[in-house]
Amino acid sequence: MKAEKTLVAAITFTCVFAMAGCASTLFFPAKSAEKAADRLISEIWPDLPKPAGPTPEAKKT
Amino acid sequence: MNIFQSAPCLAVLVLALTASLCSAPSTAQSDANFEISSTAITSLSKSMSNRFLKLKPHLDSGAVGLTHDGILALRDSSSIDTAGLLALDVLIVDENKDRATLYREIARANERPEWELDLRMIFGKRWVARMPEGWFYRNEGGQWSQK
Repeated sequence: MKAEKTLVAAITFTCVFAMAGCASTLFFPAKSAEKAADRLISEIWPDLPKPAGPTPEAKKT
Repeated sequence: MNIFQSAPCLAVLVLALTASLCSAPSTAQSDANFEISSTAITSLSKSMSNRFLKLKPHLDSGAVGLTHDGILALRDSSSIDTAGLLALDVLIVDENKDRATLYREIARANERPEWELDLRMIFGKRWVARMPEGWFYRNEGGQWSQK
């Protein structure tokens, strides 16, 4: 009985922890990454126009 | 048997939920302040910045374009002689190597190596959004378009 409970506990822990891992991947901070990308792009290629908006493809849709 | 009625299971569930919540502040922190100032990132940025003057004429002429996934690619080599093409190939390879390392380093600096691909796509999107009119970019389907 005790072994069964331990097994169930271990499986529960693994599942919840795996879900937490998936959630952290899903929660990629895209907006923040875009801002960081713009800052870095401005440093790397300072002659480029300032941040403007969506990509040309996004504008089409 | 209801597994959630057993004390050890409840204890483990609480522990696991706590662990999952502990991962949230790290995400939130990254959301507020994405780390892009490590030594490696600064060094790569300088290297790429120095290379830009050599790449710019080729981007302006359309010989080279940007891609949706944040790298450069040769688009039209018809106006370049063999020696020039070899030099340009080296430039593109070096630039793409730096870019790949840059995306990896940013993910690593933010303690999220699994974000490397997401960062690559975000940078690809922003490079294209920021590039001047007249430059070319290649979409996911491999088709070139001029901005």
